[in-house]
Amino acid sequence: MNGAIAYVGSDRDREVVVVNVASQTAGSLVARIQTDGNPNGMTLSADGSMLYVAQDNKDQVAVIDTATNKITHKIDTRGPAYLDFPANTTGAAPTAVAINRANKLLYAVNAGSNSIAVIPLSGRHAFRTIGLLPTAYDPTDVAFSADGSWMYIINGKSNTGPNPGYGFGNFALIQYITPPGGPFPGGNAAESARLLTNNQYQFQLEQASLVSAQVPPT
Amino acid sequence: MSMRMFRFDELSKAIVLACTILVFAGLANAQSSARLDDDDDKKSPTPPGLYITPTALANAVQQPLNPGLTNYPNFVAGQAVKAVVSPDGNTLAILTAGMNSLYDSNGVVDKAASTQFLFLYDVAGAHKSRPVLEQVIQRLNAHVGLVWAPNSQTLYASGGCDDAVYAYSNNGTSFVLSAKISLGHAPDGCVSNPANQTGLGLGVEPNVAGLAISADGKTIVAANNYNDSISVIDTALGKVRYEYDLRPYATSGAQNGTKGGTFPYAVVFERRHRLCRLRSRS
Repeated sequence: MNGAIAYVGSDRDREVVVVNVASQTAGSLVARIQTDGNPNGMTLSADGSMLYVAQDNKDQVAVIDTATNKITHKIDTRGPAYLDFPANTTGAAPTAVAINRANKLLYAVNAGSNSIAVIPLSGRHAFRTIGLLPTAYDPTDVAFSADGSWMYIINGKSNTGPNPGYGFGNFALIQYITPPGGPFPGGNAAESARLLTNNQYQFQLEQASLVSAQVPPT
Repeated sequence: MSMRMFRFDELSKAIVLACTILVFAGLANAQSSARLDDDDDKKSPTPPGLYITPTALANAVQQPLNPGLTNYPNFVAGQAVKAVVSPDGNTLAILTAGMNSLYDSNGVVDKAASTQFLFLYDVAGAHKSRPVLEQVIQRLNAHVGLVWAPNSQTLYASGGCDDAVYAYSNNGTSFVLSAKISLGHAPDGCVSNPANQTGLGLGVEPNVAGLAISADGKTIVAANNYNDSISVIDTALGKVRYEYDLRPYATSGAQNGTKGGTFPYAVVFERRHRLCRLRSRS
């Protein structure tokens, strides 16, 4: 049957659990692969021979040979080596990975540095970040058009700007004293409702977006 | 619906050129690498030691994810978490999973508007370079799971604390909810009551995260983020075949307390039969 093996990232235990799910009634353990960081997004090569695992708190993509279930390469997604990042310059936070089937490059989405690392999978630059594509704030995923010539990058946040209608401080106080019988009776329910109506809580103001762009040619 | 668009290609050509140079400097040639390896070039261009990247890709177009809510026409959803192009290349699906609550004019949570959103964009043909929003599906809860069936006619999305996987199928004109596959941990979905706090831990509700689908579309694996397990789903039946506990002591014979397998998040499926692939290598 197709799809007999599932690779599951264990976020807290820093491992990829390999499970055979070919049976109709029960799964069975194949392997546990320890990773340096917490596994986030993952993707397989087209032939299934390699698994790529983004680890946001290690700024790394692990390359796993699925025949041996061993890590063969660890890719620094912060940027090209010639940028010579100090060891303590961290926070690229790769959260997703995707392969463009047309140019056979791996793209790692750096949520923490608003960029996408471009990584060849063959040749003399294989498994090394060769450049960073700029993105909007907090990119979370990337996908490609059928012919691989366009990329679709989504992000989770935006610069929210000021939120004067939120009434922070007063708002928090009003919320807590408003319920009847609350710890501070006499709250201003009308004012609380008015402030809520503004919908200016910071997370309400964060805007996600889709950026479509031409895949830079190699 | 009207949609604001920001054209990045109106930026100066210099910025675009700088972007291209930065991205592919590593590929250029040994000479440029040698130059960049010079000590002088290692000095940081900014005081805190950070490097500045260019502002946009060439020909980039940004579209805010505005779901077009009637009473909140300017509301733009936040926290897009997953983007997947259908296998036929025609549709781009984007899922949000974040704080998208809204209050109505009385200061009361507007439950009809306070949802997550599944955006479907037409990226076929000429729309490849400028996706066109075709449909927005509202859904109560969501997380990071979103996969297409191989035939591009059904889309599966994880329901987060709903403890369910939702299927949306193409009825000829649009995608509509065609199945809700319960994962069996919480009878009432995302309702905060003891009966639903069946995740592992105190007062924890289940939370289905990543999804993966087999190449034939017959099987889906869902990561039960707060139950330390995966659910293996039969898509034809719309039911869970079985659940596999990822913790070592539960299913691997290890001692109780051995670490491993907790908080499963993402999952991928091998695309072809393992034995066939290994045989073809030899």
